[in-house]
Parts: sequence; C-alpha cells; structure tokens
Amino acid sequence: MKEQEVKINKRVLKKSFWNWFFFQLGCMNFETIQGPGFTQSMVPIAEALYPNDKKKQSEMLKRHVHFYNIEPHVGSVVNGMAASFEEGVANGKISPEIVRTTKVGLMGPIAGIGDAIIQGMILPLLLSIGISLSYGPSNTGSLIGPLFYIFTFLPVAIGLSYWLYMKGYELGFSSVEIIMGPHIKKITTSLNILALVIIGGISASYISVETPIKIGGMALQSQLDNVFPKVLSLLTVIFCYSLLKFPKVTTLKLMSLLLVVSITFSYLGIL
Amino acid sequence: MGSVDNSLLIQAVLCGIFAYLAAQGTPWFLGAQTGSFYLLSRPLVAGLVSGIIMGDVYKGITIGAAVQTVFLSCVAVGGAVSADLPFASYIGIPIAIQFSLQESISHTSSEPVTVAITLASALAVLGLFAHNAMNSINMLWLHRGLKDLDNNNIKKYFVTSFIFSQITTFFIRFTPAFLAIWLGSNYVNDLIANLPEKLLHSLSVLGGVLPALGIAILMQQTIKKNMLFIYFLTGFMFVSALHINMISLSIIGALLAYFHYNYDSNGENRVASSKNNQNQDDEEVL
Repeated sequence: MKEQEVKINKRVLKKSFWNWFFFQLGCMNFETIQGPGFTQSMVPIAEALYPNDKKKQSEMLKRHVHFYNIEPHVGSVVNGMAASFEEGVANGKISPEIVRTTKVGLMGPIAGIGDAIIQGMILPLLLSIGISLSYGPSNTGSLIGPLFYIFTFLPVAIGLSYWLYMKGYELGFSSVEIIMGPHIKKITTSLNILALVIIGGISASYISVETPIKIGGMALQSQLDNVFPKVLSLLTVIFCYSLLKFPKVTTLKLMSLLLVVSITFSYLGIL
Repeated sequence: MGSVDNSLLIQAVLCGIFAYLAAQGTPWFLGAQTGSFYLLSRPLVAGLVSGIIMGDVYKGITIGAAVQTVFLSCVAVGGAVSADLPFASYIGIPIAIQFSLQESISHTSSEPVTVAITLASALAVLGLFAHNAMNSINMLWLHRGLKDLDNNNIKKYFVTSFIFSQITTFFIRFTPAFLAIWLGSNYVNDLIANLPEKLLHSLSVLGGVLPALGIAILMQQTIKKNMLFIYFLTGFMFVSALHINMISLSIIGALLAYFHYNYDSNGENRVASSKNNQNQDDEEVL
C-alpha cells in the first residue's frame, strides 16, 4: 500500500512564522547572517514532516544553515515557499538541492524589493510623521508622536509579513515564477521610483550642511540658496553615494571619513 | 542621598536592559528586527522609553524626536549598518534628559537637545564596534550549534544559537550603557559644561552630515540604472525648493511609480512588449 502523503497543517505554519518573526536575526553573525534564524523557523516544519525521526529532522535543518540575508518582513514569503518545498521533498516529489538553490536565487531580488518597501518607504514616512507629531501644539512634547509610529508600524509589519508567509506556502513553485518573471521587474522598478522620491525628500529635509563663509560681506549660503536650495546637502549625499560605489569603501570607513571631515571643516570655518 | 543613588542605579539598570533589547538581533521584544531594530532602537521610541525611566516623559519625547531627525535614514542594507543606535538611544537620550533636569546648571531649552544629538552621533559610531563584536562572537555559537545538529539534538541547537548567543550579546550591550549612566552622568554634566564651543559646533555639523550616509546606502540599493537618479533629484527638489510635506510627496511618488508601471514600454520590459508587437504584426498579416 502506498504511504499517505504528509501535509503541513496551519498550526505548524503559524508556529514556523512566529519562529521566524522572533528569531529572524537572532544569532546574527558575519558568516551566515540570518542562517540560524531561518533554520529556527524550519524547526516546526521538520518536526511535522518527519515525526519521531530526529536524524531526518536535523538532516533537513542542516540544509538551511547557509548564508542567508534578506529583508525579514517581505522575506517571509521565502520561508513560506521553503515550507511548501520541504513538504515536496518529504513526499519525494522534488530533490532537496532545489530548496537551497531557489532560496539563494530569491534572496537578491526579494531583499531589493523589501529594503525599498520597508526601509526606503514605510520607515522614513512613518518616522517623519511621528517626528512632526511629537512636538505638540506648544512644543512641550506630545505622546501622539511615538505612539503613532509604534501603532502604525507594528500592524503593517506583522500583517504584511504574515500574509506573505502564508501566500508563499500556498503558491509554492508558482510564486517563483511570479517573483522571477518579467512582471516583477517592472513592479520592483516602480517601487524603487516611489522609494527614491521619498528618499530624496528625506535628504532635503534632514541633511543640513550650511556654510558660514562670507564673501565681501555677502553670506555665501544665501547666494547658494538662490541658485539651488540646499545644494550643499545634495552634494554631500552624492559624495557619499559615489564613494560607496568603490568596493573597498566600507560603512565604517566612510563614517570615520565624515567624522574627520566635519570636524576639520568646522575648525577651519568652512562649515 | 541614599535614595537618590538608588534611583540612579535603577535607572542605569533599566537603560542597560533597554540598550540590550534594542540591539539588532535581540528577539525578546517583538522580534529580532521588528521590535528591536525598527522600534526600540529608534530615538523617537527611545525618547518615550527613556523619558519614562528618567522621570520626564515629555522632555524625553521632544529630545527623542530631535535625535530621530539625525538618524531618520538609519538603515541596514545587505548587512551594512549605517549607524548603530542602541547606545545612542539609551545612553545619549537619558543623559540629555538628566542634564535638562539639573537645576544647578542654568541652560537654555535648546541645550539638552544639542547635548543629545552630540552624544548620540558619537555613540552611534561606537555602537558599530559593539555590533561587529556581536557578529564575530556569534560565529562561535553558529559552529557550536552546527555540532548540535550533527548530534541530532535540535533542542540544544536552539539553546546554543538563541540563548547562549544572547547572553554574550547582553554583556556587550548592557555593560557600557549601565556604566555610562551610573558612573558617567555626573561627569558628563561637568564635561559638557567645559567642552570647547568649537568642538560642540563641529559635532553638531557631524549631526547634519550623518543622515547622508544612510541615504547613500539606500540609494546604492535602489538605483539599479543611473537614469533612476532623476527620481531622487525630483524628490529632493520638491522639498528643498517647493517645501511640500512628506505625505504629499509620497503621493507624487506613487503617481510617478504608477506612470512607470503603466507606460514604460522599453527598458526591462522590451522583450515582453516586442513579443506583443510581433503578435500584433502577425495578426495584421493574417
């Protein structure tokens, strides 16, 4: 008699999702970044697929400890897909190798979309609204600011993440086609455009580089503002952006450079 | 006096605990990224929390919001963190609140904000070292955990990866924050009072430049074709020259994104559309 197919029930999927939600970046390390977090989210799946077989469970988990780096909220779609793939592996429908190659292949595109959505759009938007609500009517401080940020960000982040996990499991292989297809490139570029417009606005509001230099009694800053408002802030971003294109320039190096330059320039009276 | 010292001790312990909870990778408060990196570490939220700890919620919120403007673009793209906030948030902001509550020192209302931004900018750089230390030490736990999996011990794998690694992270985060608040806050008041004007000015210049770093990292991630740079300029110009607010700007951004989605017929979509054209041509021939 043919063995009955194993199927993951909703309760296990939920457990796996919450494991990912809590431990996504736990044990974060230089070698595998989110590898341990992803593995932990697969523990309930392994226990459901290979009940009472510790050896097979660990075998499956070891497939997931490789280098993995993604935006965790949007990235939860991959966890859902991995769960459905592992179900296929347990039922002998697909080879275990495919799980890993798909994960590695999806990592780049989804991290790109995720960072554009969460860090490029949602965070700066909600934070800047939160900041403006924080001062209150008479500048004495208002609880609404931080509470607005907490209670808009949390439902958006958790809801999006949960929905994507379940969608990833539901669609399984067909979600790979959606994510790798030509359609998604257009969506990604469109989202990047929206994010870039917001990032541009954030730069203009929150980078402040002004010069106290006076030429013949005229303030240079007001002259510059007549030509292009906040042109020095813009040049600062472009400077950082073009330096980051060199692979040897790390964040820490660039930050130290900014530290040295701002202190020197302000002592020289340029900034 | 005894009771005053005790309350400072408790405040220092609480700030230390929150500096740990806010670190990227600490799972206990609503997840290792969601609750820590995106919520607790943000100065806007930290202002509220530190305000409650230090005994003046509203001062905390205004100081937190001012510091948040400097770190609005604190991002972690592809593992590269532009600034590490837990120390900035739970050392810089509490000390600034305490400074503002000191009645013996006369100061203007904007001074505590300058103190907070200055301390936070310096601590955000120091925080990167703590972040890197955690990432290095966790490599040890990763390999210990892999051994547990080799021995088919999944429960022990969890303990190694997420309990032991959290204990080392706790010491990395808690100790500096606790010591800074407990021992440092008295010195800091004197230190700030005696700090040369020029150094304070140069650190506030740094505070204005620092957001550029996070933004540059985000741009590196989002600008896949050089032409997209024009959208960044558009957003910049709308705010710098036309002074529109963020919600209005996001609607303009959505419109541009919609246009691109609907009307872009070349570029990445060339293959698909040329196929469509060919189909149409075929039909015409038929």
